[in-house]
Amino acid sequence: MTVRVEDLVVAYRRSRVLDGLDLSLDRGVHGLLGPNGAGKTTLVRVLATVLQAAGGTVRLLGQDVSVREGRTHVRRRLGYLPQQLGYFPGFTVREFVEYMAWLKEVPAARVPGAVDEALERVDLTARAGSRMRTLSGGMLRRAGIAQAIVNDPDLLLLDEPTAGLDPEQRVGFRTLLRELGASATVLVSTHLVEDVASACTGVVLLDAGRVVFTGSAEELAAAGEGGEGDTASERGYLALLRGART
Amino acid sequence: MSGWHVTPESAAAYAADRLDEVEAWSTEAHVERCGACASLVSAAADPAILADVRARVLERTRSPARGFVRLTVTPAMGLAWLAAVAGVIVGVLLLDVLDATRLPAVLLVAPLLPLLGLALGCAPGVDASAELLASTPVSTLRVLLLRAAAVLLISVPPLLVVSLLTSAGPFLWLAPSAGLVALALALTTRLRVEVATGAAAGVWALLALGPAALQEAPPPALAPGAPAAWAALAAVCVALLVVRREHLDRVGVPR
Repeated sequence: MTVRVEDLVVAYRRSRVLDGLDLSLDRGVHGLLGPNGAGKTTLVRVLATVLQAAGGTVRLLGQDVSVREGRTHVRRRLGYLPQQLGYFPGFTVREFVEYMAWLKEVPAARVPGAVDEALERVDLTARAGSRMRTLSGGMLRRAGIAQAIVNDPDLLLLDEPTAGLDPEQRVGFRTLLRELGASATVLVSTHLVEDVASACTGVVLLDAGRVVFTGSAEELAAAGEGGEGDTASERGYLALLRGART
Repeated sequence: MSGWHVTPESAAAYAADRLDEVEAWSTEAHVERCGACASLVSAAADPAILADVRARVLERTRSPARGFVRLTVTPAMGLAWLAAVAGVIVGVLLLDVLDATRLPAVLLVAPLLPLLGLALGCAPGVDASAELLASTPVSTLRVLLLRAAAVLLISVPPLLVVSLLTSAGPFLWLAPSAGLVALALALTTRLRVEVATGAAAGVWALLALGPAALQEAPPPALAPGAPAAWAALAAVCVALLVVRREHLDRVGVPR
């Protein structure tokens, strides 16, 4: 199991953002859904090892991330796109991805090829020499995805990756997700239920800091028969949330 | 190795893209292990193409060295440096307006500048890349030490100039500067970096600024024997930092 989380607790001051959360994920693309404030970003940040849990256990790629050696091992094999991408505006896209490859300890000889491949996969090769400050929101998102996949990660965490992408780019991104999910565990936090329905093999639904549903995209769709919503997945999403709150 | 080598004619044909695929492949395979023939082909090639290839190779091979620079010289550090330099100027101005018979202001201000630089360079919300940096295997201790060294390197030389101009002994503030930075780094293994640097500044306020404000005589932190004590503090704190480095993680990441 690539991700095994048990009884995870994360608290800000007195409020518990994640409250006894359990989660197990293996290879494939998993959509992380939930309303605002459900704890999606907090969970992704804990799995990205940038946020320390107040309680519970987190094992990633077989390693206990509360131990420094475990964290370091995981970080070498991790790809992470945060909700708010931090970057240096003066870097070119290539420099940004190269820098991240260096930080992730990609062997120097492999960096040029890895950067080329990552940029090609997100269709940014033509803008490799552009300064980050000149990119549109969608291009910045794609540059963020490129840095996340440059080390060919075993665990890929993407927080709102499709924000700012136009419909054509989103279709391309879903194809990329399916490719990545063939060899890695990919967790995609998103508000867009249709992204999950078309690209994810598994669905995790969070509400109020707890997992209220795990299953396949088909099971999500089937859960909402006869309910409200424009698509089967949306109907399932709403029905499961209401069920969890009653 | 065979006795076959590239002739000037075949080198020119290769450079002009007139060889068939098999001949071109043979030439490429051969020049990978024969320096003389590689030189021959290079001489026949268009210099503009060679320059372009050279630039691309250099661009691709310099990333590790540049990585260290990028890790240190973040935009946040630029801000920290500016603050340090501005602090020096303020110090000089203070010296100008203060009575020359009183304790030189540089002695009181100088140890605080590296702390300010460290706080500005590593505090949450300042470094835009902190979240991404924390998700990589790069050593937090290395990041902190690189940035602390950068702050010291940029702030110490102008302070030395000011110190020499005012006849204020450099060791009187160099040693506490090192001691306070080391103290802040050691405290970072337990506290947030902005709290740790604030605590170190508080120590300085207690031992130097407060007594200086209250009396004319040099405060204990700037007494002639004090540099040895500050150096000892620096050594202890560095040792503590190394021992407790496992507790250094996620520095500068907002909660």
